[in-house]
Amino acid sequence: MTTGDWFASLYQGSYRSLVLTAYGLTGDLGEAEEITQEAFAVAYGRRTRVEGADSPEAWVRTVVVNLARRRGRRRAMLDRLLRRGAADPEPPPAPAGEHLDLHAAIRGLSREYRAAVVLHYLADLPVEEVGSILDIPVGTVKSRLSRARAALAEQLRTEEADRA
Amino acid sequence: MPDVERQLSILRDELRAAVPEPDLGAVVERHRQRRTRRRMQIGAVAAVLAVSGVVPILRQLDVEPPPATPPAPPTVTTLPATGGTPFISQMSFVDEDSGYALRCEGLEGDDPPPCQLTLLATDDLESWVEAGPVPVPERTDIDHLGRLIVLGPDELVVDWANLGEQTSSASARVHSDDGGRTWRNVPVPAVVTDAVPAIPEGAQLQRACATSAPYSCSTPTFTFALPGSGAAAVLADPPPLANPVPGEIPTADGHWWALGHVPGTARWAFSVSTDDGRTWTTTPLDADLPQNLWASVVSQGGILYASVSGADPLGDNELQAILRSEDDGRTWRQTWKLAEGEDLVQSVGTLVAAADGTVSFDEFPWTYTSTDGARTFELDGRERLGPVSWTRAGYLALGDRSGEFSPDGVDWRQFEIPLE
Repeated sequence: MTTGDWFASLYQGSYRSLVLTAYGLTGDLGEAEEITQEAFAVAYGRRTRVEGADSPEAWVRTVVVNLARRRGRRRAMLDRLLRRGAADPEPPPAPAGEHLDLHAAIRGLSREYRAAVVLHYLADLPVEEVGSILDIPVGTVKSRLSRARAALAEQLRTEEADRA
Repeated sequence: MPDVERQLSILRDELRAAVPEPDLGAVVERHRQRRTRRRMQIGAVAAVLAVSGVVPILRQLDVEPPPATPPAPPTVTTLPATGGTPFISQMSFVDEDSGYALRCEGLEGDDPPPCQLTLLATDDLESWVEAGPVPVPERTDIDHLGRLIVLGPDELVVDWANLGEQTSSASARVHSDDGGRTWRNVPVPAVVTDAVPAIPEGAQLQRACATSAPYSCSTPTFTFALPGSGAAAVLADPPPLANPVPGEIPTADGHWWALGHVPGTARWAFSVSTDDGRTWTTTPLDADLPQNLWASVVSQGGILYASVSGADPLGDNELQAILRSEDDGRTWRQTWKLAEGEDLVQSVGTLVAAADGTVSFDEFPWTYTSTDGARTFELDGRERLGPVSWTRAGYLALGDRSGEFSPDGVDWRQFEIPLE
């Protein structure tokens, strides 16, 4: 394989972060992995162009975001055609880890808050980038993050109390 | 109180560790499979639009004349489906809000008869009504798909190409002057001889031959349907090109154009008219272009942009070059071409020369945009629902069940179209 070291470095350095970016938009980790692999396949086909971009990772992230949006639009259109209310996808089983409660609580947030939390805290994107992806002002991003944190804290406190 | 932010950081690390990372070889293989799928998809679209052999099945559609009373609103008449997935074969806009579409049903099998056509109309892009069926001529030698020509707000023509005469622009035609409520047959001779000095407003150009020539033509010309009657006429003074292919409609700035060869040579040339085809400026192109080409030309602010595409050995459309003219086609400058070693650009559709000065092309569904006069292009994150075409009222991108329209290439409105 002759992709060049730079593409392999890009892939290894950003794949997981981009999966979490897609997860923020789709709410489905399996779909997020599929989208990210597709995005890298697209990038591979344009690797000359990607290498010349100011930020190759940002280039691939744009593709990830577009793919996630497209799938969301298709789902929404199908919902309309079948005359059913828009529903969040069934959450997949969470990966094993110590913070299952927190992950479950995130998945229980509304779509808008979940997207902001996942993109900022889990995909590690700055609020400006989150605002650009979600097409909302930075102030709105901060507001959603603040309310989401409060909701998550309340949820975790309740679960701690229940266990106690 | 739980330290949510600290826990979120830990969860982030756990999730990253838990997400499996496929080997990079899988990405490369996925890329190869994407290209194979895309070739098959483009091939399927081309097959739908291709002209095939003579059809042995007779078809006729009776159309009831309207009652002699005040005109009724268009009735919703749905024909029984004959199989195959209905699709929109064409759409054309009269202005930013209103237009017509042809819905085709029954196109299936290796050698289908002409499909059942239903005319749809909209006056707000939000709702579409069925204006009625389009009568299909009782012919065995015509194309499967009709071609819709909108001559005016209520004046329409549908043409079916002749499968045998490659140089005849149309072999069967129906005309309506009441928005598709009623239609009448319009005879179209194999060789059209009525010549007019200028292209009428609303007309669409097609290749034609001034003499009968089944497979090649030494006297090329352009033909069109005349507003008011739908009768066929030819342009009195076509551009001095061999094998010319015209743009069907003018650019936003009113430029008519055609691509062909300098007679007696293999050199490509553009001809441009700014006076509705009365006179033409012909310019040989100084660009390294293959022999099999097709082109589209758009304009914005008096600047013409031409995209030139050819077919690779597999038959895929490849964007070969983009050219620009700032003097009504007197001179052309190649501003972009595929870089050495660059992945092929399989672009189907026209350029979009937007009112904000940008120029873009689509490698469906991705859009690449230039902010420097079509010299360099970057992926800009936008997506189109389908390949872009230029209509007299603006740019149109048609998808499977929806489309989007823009009068200026900047602001796009999405709409859905009824397929059943």
